[in-house]
Amino acid sequence: MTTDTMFRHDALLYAGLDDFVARTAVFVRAGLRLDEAVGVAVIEPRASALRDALGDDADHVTWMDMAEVGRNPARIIPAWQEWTESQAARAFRGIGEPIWAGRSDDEIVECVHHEALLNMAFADVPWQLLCPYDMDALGSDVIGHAHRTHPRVMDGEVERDGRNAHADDYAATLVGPSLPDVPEDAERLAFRSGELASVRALVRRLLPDAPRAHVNHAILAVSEIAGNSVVHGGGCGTITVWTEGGAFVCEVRDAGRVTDPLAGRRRPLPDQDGGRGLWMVNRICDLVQIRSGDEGTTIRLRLSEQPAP
Amino acid sequence: MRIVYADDVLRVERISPPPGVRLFGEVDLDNCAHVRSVLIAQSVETAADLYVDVGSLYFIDVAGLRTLVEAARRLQPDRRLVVSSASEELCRLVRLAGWDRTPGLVLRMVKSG
Repeated sequence: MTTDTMFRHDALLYAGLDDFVARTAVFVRAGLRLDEAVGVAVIEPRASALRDALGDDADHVTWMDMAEVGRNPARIIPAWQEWTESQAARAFRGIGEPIWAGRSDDEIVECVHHEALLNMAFADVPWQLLCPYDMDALGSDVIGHAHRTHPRVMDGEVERDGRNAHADDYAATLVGPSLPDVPEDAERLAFRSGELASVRALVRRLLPDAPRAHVNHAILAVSEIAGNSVVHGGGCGTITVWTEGGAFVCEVRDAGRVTDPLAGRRRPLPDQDGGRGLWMVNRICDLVQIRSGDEGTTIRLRLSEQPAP
Repeated sequence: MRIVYADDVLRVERISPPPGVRLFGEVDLDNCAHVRSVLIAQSVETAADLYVDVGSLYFIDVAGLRTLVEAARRLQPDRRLVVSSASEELCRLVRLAGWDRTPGLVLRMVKSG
């Protein structure tokens, strides 16, 4: 196989805004010269700075606000899938910056999983995705992850080998790292088939004064995850709920096993039977963390009061 | 009007004409079978469109939406399942689930005033 038939997933290590603009603009213009479709998903101020630098060329780029698309990192792969599939026969390339300074530790963990899963989701799709990492603002641990999730790393003028994608890396996204401890005062409820209404009542009790839309989203997300426990997780589970800095957090444990690392990241087909619960939960929530192994499955959801898209 | 199912969570009333059901409360994985069975019964009793009034429904999960989608699909091609008094939120969920173009499924939003 030549590189033209494969997914090329590069990390771009840059230092500061000017370096970002200089190097991503070259990548964008190279694509436009080849008449490729170019998609850029980054956050401010980099989006505006790159747009300004590109001048009229910016009009030929599809701009996606990564702050919105990537608020839940599990929504980024479906967004790229939708965009790439809309290109028909045209070649395409993209810039995607899922990790930025200011992301929480939990978000960064899931962003690293997202970077690994891009290799799985697009293994057979010939396109180039460049993922900028800000060396000035991100910790060395984050840069280390970039080396492990990208087969190629552009570091200054040097092109280094990263780590080639491996099935074990995909499976590992379901295993760890382990989630932070549940607060001791969190409310806990065991449930089984026929008791989903009491699970919803628990969420309503926890959010007595929250806006109706926020409560509805929390209830739907929790209902879907608990419903998965009933159908796939041995018929029962345990739910724990708490609030954290204005966000609703919920964890559901059951005896089931999630084996598909891309679960919840594939847009369901209209006549497909299952596989919608996690998809919907990813659309609604700001962060969804799945950990699954021999001892069962834990899914933790976070939902802030900001309305979902 | 006839109550065909009622508990603390969900009440299903049969309406006619037009034939259909009015749902009160919450429809979820646990109780959607009660909605399914009455819609199946009505779909064979008449040849008309079926109506599902969700104006008094304050929660529906994906299993509940699937019940409506499957009921619409089961109808003959010239018949429709009309979901009436649908909230904006319900319409949004149907879109998110990828069911907004289901043949035979018609969503009618709540009319104000």
